[in-house]
Formats: sequence, structure tokens, C-alpha cells
Amino acid sequence: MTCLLAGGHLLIEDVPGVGKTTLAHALAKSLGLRFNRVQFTADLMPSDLTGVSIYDRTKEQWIYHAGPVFTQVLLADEINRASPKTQSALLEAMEEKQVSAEGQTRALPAPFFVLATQNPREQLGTNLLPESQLDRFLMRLSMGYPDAASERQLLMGLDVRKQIETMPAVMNALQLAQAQNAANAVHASDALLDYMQRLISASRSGQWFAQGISPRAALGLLRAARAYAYLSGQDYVSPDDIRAVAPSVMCHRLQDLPASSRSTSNQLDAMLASIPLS
Amino acid sequence: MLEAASRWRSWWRNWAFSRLKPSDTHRLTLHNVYVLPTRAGWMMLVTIAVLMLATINYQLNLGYVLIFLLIGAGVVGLYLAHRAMTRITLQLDTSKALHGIAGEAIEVAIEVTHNGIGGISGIQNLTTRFDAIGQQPLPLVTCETRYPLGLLSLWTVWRIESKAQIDPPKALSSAAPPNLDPAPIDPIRDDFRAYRVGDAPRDLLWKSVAKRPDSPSSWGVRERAASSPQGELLAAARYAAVQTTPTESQDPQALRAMQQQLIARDQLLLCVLLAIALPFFLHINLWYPLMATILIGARLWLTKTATGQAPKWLQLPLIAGLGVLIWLQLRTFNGIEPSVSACVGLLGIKALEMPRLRLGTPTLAGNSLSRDRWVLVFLGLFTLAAHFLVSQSLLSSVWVVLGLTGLIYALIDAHSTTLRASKLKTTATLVVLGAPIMLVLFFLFPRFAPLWTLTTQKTTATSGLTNEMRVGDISQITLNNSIILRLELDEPKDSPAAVTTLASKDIYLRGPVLPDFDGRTWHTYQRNPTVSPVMLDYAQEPSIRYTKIEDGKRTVLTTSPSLRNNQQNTSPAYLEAALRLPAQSNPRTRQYLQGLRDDPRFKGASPQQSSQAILSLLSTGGYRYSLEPGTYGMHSTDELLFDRKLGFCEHYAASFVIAMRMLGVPSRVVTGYQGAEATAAANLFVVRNRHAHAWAEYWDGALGWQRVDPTAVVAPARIQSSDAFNQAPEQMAKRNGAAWASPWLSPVVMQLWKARQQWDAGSYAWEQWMQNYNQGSQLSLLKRLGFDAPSWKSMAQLLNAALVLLVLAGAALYALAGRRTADPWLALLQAARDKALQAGLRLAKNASPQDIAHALPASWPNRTAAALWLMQLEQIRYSHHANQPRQSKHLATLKRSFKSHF
Repeated sequence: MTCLLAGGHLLIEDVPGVGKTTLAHALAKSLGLRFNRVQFTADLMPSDLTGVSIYDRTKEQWIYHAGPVFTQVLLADEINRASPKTQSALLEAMEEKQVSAEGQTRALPAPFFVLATQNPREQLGTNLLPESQLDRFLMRLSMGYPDAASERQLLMGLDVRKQIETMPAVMNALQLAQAQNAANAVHASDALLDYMQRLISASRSGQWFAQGISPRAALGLLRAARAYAYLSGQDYVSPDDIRAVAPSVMCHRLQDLPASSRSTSNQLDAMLASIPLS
Repeated sequence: MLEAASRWRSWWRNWAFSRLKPSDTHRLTLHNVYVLPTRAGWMMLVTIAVLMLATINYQLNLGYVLIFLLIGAGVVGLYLAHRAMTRITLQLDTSKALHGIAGEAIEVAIEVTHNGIGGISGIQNLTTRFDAIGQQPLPLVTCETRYPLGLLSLWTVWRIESKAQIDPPKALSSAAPPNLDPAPIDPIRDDFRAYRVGDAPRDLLWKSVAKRPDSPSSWGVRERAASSPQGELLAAARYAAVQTTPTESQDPQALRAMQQQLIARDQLLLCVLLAIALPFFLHINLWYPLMATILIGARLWLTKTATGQAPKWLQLPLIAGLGVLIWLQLRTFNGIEPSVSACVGLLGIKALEMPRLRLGTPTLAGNSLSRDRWVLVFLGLFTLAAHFLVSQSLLSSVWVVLGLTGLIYALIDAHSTTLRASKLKTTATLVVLGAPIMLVLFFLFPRFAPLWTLTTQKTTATSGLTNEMRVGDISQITLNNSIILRLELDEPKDSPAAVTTLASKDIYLRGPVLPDFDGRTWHTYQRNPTVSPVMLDYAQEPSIRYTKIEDGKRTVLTTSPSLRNNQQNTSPAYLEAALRLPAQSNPRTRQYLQGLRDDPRFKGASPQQSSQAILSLLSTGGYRYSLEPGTYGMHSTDELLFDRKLGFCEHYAASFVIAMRMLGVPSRVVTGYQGAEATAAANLFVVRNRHAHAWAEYWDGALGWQRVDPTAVVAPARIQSSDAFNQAPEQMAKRNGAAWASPWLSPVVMQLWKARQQWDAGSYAWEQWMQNYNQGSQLSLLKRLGFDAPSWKSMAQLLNAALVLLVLAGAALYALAGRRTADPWLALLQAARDKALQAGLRLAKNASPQDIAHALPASWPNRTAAALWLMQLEQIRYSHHANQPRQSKHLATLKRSFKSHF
């Protein structure tokens, strides 16, 4: 939700069957947005995504058939199963919010939100997303297994899909756009920007990570923190907001030190714990 | 024997460490970190002791500066290392089961966490092997660092509580029950493994076998502690206090990078040594620093080549060459100059000899210097100290401190793998924080008299004046630059010309007068033992009033002609003594002067004419002035006048007097100082040891004793040198008609000259203060500090108290550093956090207001209000209203209400 409000795209990385698709579906439905799902496979072509022009005999002209990308919420399932070519087609759409196909550039509907899921790296038949493309995703989340109580509810409960279908929309696209604007207007004070800069430069210092976060990521961090603050009802960003979103915004953009044996998120936690407030 | 020792050692270890409480988490604290000097550390202690002895014996105050700064840096280094070390926590990684099979390697993972700002952690995998089965205790783990200087080893020992479950090998379990007491079937196979790159040479066995080219793989290496669980270390979990050691990797690229790093480290050390050797160009014979520079430069160049080291055979000829050079130039190996020269030369030779890095040895990167490089560091220290033997000027002092800093940086560079900036910071910390310790020790460390008289001081006179003078015995005068006294001429109220008439070349300071001659030695009249004080020898009118400043004492004196002529030395008995010569001495001179006396033109010549005749012989005979004339024999005047024609003031003064006596004119040798250094103040002169001089006086019945300086005709430069160098540019310009005397340039030159004079004055003041800081100064310092009757006891007390205070102050500063913050908002937040911590809550160092608010337990008095207070605190900083003027008022309100919530 934070990600959506911040106008960024989300990458969910987890093993199959923990409810990634369900989450995306529920999100789209409750926001009253159009939802498309594309299952990425090794043979998926860019044109399968963006659409093709087909000659229409009756009209005697080429008609563009928009691909599934022309939607408001796009669930790109198992994105790392597709070829790099297809991945980059999607990523162009994500960054530019437009599609270039057959010499024509077509704008995508707003809001445009991509929810991509990815299988953990070790699994077979996957093409890893390069760092530059990982950087396009504002956040990367991991769902994790549900806790015992939730799982119990899950086992006892109704069919999830039915629940989603019956779920009422709580807002529409216009309201979402307003919310996004409001989130972007959340105040970030000088002291907070100082703190953020310390964080950013610490990540680049070489002491914690081999490679720090990019300026784009820094902007993303601020946007995400604003959205997070907005969601928790504050009209200003506090360091706690930054700390809350930092793992999901930063982890996939950082590269571990060669000697480090701690996981990236543990190392990031240690770094966050070491940077004094300002 | 060796076996018994190792058994004893193992027994001792077991006994000593059996008291350690086993645990799975080992936090390093004050109580379990031990400190011992490393091998290099012991060597450094010996070096410091030797330097100390030399400093005491040569009475070099600057030597103390060097030693105490080194000690100060060492203490600060120990503190830094200890601080870094006590932030480490070792923790057994219990996520992996400690399960193994007898006789097979079992891996134990240990997480090493550093809780400092660096917050680094890493997993260290240690391997061991058990032969017995069942629950087996894991071996002891040691964690050691030599950061930052490599002189001290800080280590801790950890007994792991968890035990390993060892199963019998599969083959065995199905067959017979395991042999609990296995017979050593093949001890070599059992205890040794094949050589691996990086194994320490001392662990290599069967070297002679292994060195056979056909069996390179059969090098046996004792796997320490592999067989017995209680034995030795499992492996050294070496952990350089600030970061983990680079793991052994066979990756060629990583190896190359590591090697580049090591080469850079060598280059740094060599550059520092080069800088240490350079200033010797100013002080000793050109050849030695030149040799050092060339050799170190060559070694620097070699680091870039493939071979990487100089051929070994070069070493012996170089050392021999150095010896021959010293012998040829100085004719002795004893004394200051030969020692200093040898030290500088050896520095170069040792640097060239430095062996190349062993290729493909990743362990080298494990933060240590090889023995050769340590020797170089110690030699560098000696060379730094030796610098003070030849010069104690301000510039030298600054250079030596810089040189020491360079050496410290090189050591830090070798013992840590952090970034360059952090190494520089550590160096600065060591030197800056070490300086107060140095100052306290310097001022309060008791000054001793030399422990034994140095043989060197007998053959090398330091221009000191005594009541006797042996010509030809003193083979050379070491140019000693130390200050004897200062001379302040009174500003004459009536005749302002008086000061300007007395140029420094006209300053003759009269010391002991030596009329008695026994053929070898000149003595005072009737060997009078009282040493006459040094006075200004100025026979003209009007007399000059002057102040003599000697050892800080000021004496006001007036010149007087009676200094030369008094009742005693104009008596007939005195005049007769001033004619006495040993009968058989100097036959050739006697013969030559007899010829002169027989000359009809010379008949009835006045004493002045006799003097003129001898002076003209000296000025036209091709005589040269040298401070190193060699040793003269029995007939020194013969030798000087007809054979060697080489000597310095003593030779010429003595020969002149002997010749005058042969011509029948009473005459005597006068010793003292001639010339003086002008200072920025026109009426202040500095007299140094090197101004020591000897001249002659002859008796002219009518005029009394007349001064003649034979050295002046042989070497006018000797008399005028200090004058010529210190004249104001204006005067020099007038004399030389120099082009730069133009009106628009001369102010610049004048300024430069003045600046130089000021620098000189500062440098002299420094030198004099440095050399005169002795027991007396220390006691008077104590007196000023309030001790009524200062003694060694009070000095020791004060030294003790000062050092304790210094340590306490350092500790307090460190403790406060975390709390003290200039930002009032942060201070308030910190106060809230402190209160929460006191209540037993767990909060991170950088806990935010929200963190604290969330952590507040339900039992907290008025929890909601406290949380609200924290929210307000947050808003002051981060909301829209931040930076507005009334926020500070708001903060003050919050501060007032702090007590009611916390």
C-alpha cells in the first residue's frame, strides 16, 4: 500500500503459494482498479505484453490490440522466468509509464502499478533481474509464511477467491490519485533530510556494503517514507518512517561486502542501529 | 626434552584455563582480555632501553622527547586496541548441529560481532577433528589482535560450553567396538598433512626431505591440536580488532590485490626511511646520507620490478665499503660521528637487503610485518635518535617528530586493513593523545647524570676549555653547535658608536691563559687549577659594559685592559716562564729561526717585527686550516711548519708562541672563544662551542701583552665566517655592490633577512632551553608548583599523580564523549533514553522518540502522558514547524516538564 501511494512498483520475492497473487488481486479490487495478470514464462515475448497490430480485413487497416500491460494494476507473476528481453519491455513501461511498440508510443493508464513476483534465486530456470532493473522497483517484499493463527484461519476459512470477488471497492482511481498527491506533500524537515543523507552516505561508505544505494533509490526512500507517514496518519516524516521502509526499499539495491557473512537485511539493521539521529 | 616441554605447556594451559567458565557467548570485557608484548614488542622494549641509556649518557633532552612520544603513542595504542577488543562478542552459531564422525573434520561456526560504530560481524569457521566418540568438549578458542602498532598482543581465551556429538566411523560401528585407545599405527600420516600455501615455516617438518625437487608435495605440516580435543587451539580465530582478517582465498585476483597492498605497504615504509635519512645531508659527511638515499631509492625501484629484491651477495661488499669509508674519513670507529655515519649507512644497506614478498602467501596479509621489516623499523628509530647527536635545532626536532609519526603510520598501515583515512586518523590520535603523556614524562622524569663516562669524549674534544691544552693530541674537533653563553652589549648612553664598532669578528672571549709549556702540553701559570671565567677581551678605550648570560645567570661586566696585564703576569718570573722551551724540541724550527736571527736586516728587531716575520711566514707558506689535521708527533711545530702545513687554531697558536720564544720574545697561548653569532637584536650575540679558539699574546715591554691571532692569517674565513654570514644585507650590498640592493628589492631582502634572524633566534632559544633543562630546572619547576622543599620523592609523587590524572582524564573524556552533545534536542532525547535505560528497558543507541514511546511498559507512571511528551519532542524536530523561532521556547517547556514524566 505504501508502495502504491508512493507511486512505485513492488517486487515480491517468495516461494510459490504464500499468497502473492491473492494480495495483488485483493489490492486491485479494493482500490477499484483494473487488474491484469500475466504469467511470465520463458517463451513470453515482449509483444505478448505490449500488444500487437493485426490487419483487420473489415476495416482494411492495422488495428492495435493492446496487450495486458494496458491496465492499472499489473501482476507480473514470476517475472524472473521470462527472458531478459521481455523483462526489459516491462521495465520500460514501469519507468516511463508508456509503451513503445511498432514505432508508436502509447501512454499507459494512470495510476499504473506493477506488482511483480519473483521466485527465490536458487530455483531452476530463472533469469536473475540485473541490478539496474531491480533498481526500478521501489520496494521488494517478502511475504513469509503466515503465523499459526492466520494459517488456522486460512485452513478454516472460505475460498479466498470468492472473498475477493465479493469484496467492495473502498476507493476509486481518482481518490487514489488524490491520496498519492497528499502523500507526496507530507513534510520532510531539514533534520530528517540530514538523517537520510547520513544513512545514504553510510551505505556508500564501503564500510557496510560493497555498493550503496543510488540517488533514484534515495528519492524512492523518501517517497516511500512519506507514503508510510501518510498511512500512519502523520503530516510529517519521522526517522521511524524511514527506518520502517528502509529494509524493503534498500535491501534489493545493496551489495554485500565480499567478506560479510551476515545477510543483507541483518547488515542493514546493524547499519540503521549505528546511525545517530539528527 | 621438547616433548616434555610441550606436554608441560599443554598441562599448564589446561590448568590455567580450566578456571574459565564455559559459555556459548563470549563477551570480551576488561576481565578476559589479556595483554602481552609480542616478539616485536619485546624488541621495542629493548630498543627503548638502549635509546634511554644513550639519552642519559649523552644528556640529550630531545632523546627523551622521542622516547616518551613513542611510549605515549604506545599507551594510546593499547587503549584504542583494548577499546576495540572489548566491543567484540563471540558467539557459537548454534543453528548448526555440532555433529561429527570420529577421525573426520568437524566444522564449528562462530559469529564474531563488533558492537562499535563499525558494527561488523562475520562468521568464522573453525575446523577440528576428534578421535574419541561421544560428547566431546570443543577446544579452546583464542582471539587475538596486534592492532594498531603490532607491539602488543591482546588476546582472550574462550571455552565453549556446547559439546560436540561424535559418532563412531561407519566402518567401525558395524564391526568391532571402537578402539578407545588407538595404537599409533602411522604417526606421520596421522599427525601431518601435506603442505599448504601459507603454512608457517616453523611448522614444517622434514624440510630436508621436502626440499628435494622431486617431492614438493610431501612437506609435512604438523596440524596443531588436530588430534587432541583439549590440546592447544583449535585454530586461532584471529580477529584484527577492527575487522576480520581476509580469509584465505586461492582466487588469483584477490591474491594479486593483496600483493599490491603489501607492496604499497613496503613502499610506504621505505619512503618514511628515506625521509628519516634525508636531513643527515645537513649534518654529517655527504657520503653516508647519499649512500642511504641511493640504496633506499634502489629498493623502492625494486618493488616495482619482477625480481623484487636485491641480490644477496651485494650485502657484504656494501658493509665492507661502509666500514672502509668510515675508516678512511674518520680514522676511528669510536665516537659520535662514526656511529652516526654507520647508522645512516646501515639503514640504507638494511633497506636494500629487505627480502621480497613471498609470492602466493595469503597469510602475509594477516596483519603482521616480517622480521626484516621490523629490524628496519628499529633501525629507523635509532637513526631518528642519532639525529639528535648531530643537531638539536628546532628544525631537527620537528623533523624527528614527523619522522616518528611516519614510522607510526607505517606500523599502523601494516597492522590494520582499514581505509587510508581511518589509518591516518588513528595515527593522528596516537600522536596527539600521546603528546600529553610525553610532556608529563618529559618535565617530570628525573634527569640522571651520565651512567658512565663515554670513551668517545676523550678523543673528541667538544671545544670545551680546560686549564691545559695538548697540541696534536686532539686529532679533531667535532663541531658542536651548543650554546656556551650569550653576550649582551650595553646600549651605550653616551656613544652610540660603541656597539657598531664591535663586530662579531672582533669579539674575543678570553678563557684560560696558558704560558707553561712542557714540550707537549700547555698549562696555566704554575699549573694554577682555578678555571678563569670567560671575559670579553677588549683593550681599547672607552671600555664597554656588557652582560654575560651563562646557564641563565646574568653577570654585568666591564672591559678593561688590565685583563691582559696585571701584577702577576708582568712580573719577571712570569716573563721568564713565558720564554721557557724544552731543550731538544723542534730542531728544524730552531735552525730556521736561527737563520733569521743571524740575518743582518733582522738585527735588533722589535717584538712586533719578530711577530710580523713569523706571521708573514704563515701567510705565505701555503698553510691550510683544517679541523681534521690528524695526529701530530713529538716535534709538532716542525711537522706543522715544514711537513704537513695543516692544522687549526691550536696548532697555529702554539707554533707561533714557540717560534716567538725561540726569537727571544716572551709569549703565551690564550684559549677562549672568538667570533659570535649575531642575532636579530643588534647588541645580542650568541657564543657557541664551535667558536672555541686559541690565539697568542707576546710581550712588548712598552705596550704590555699584545694579542696576535695566527689563525687569522692562515684562514681569514675562520675568523670572519660567522660575521660574513650574519651581516645585514644592506652592509653586504654596500661592500659587494650587489645588484639586488636596488631600492625596490631591498625591502624584500630585508624582510627575508629579518625573518631568518627571527627563526634563528627562536631556534637558538629552543636549543638553549632544551639543553639546559636539567635537574635544577626540574626542581625549580616543582618549587613553582608549590613544593617547598622539592626532592626526588616529591618529583616521583608528582609524576605519578600527573600520569594517573592524565589516564583518568582520558577515560572520563571517553566516557563523556558518548553523552556530550551540543544539540539540546538530542540532549533531551538522550536524557529520556537514559531514564528509560535506568528503568531496565532495552533501547538502541539511536532510539527515536517513537522507539522510546513504544518501549515504555504499561507500568510506567502516566505512560500516555510520557508518550505524548515524546511525540511532542518528535514534532519539534520533524514537523512543519521545525526551524521556527518559537520551537526553542517549546523545547524549553518540554524540558521543564521532563521530570514529571521520567
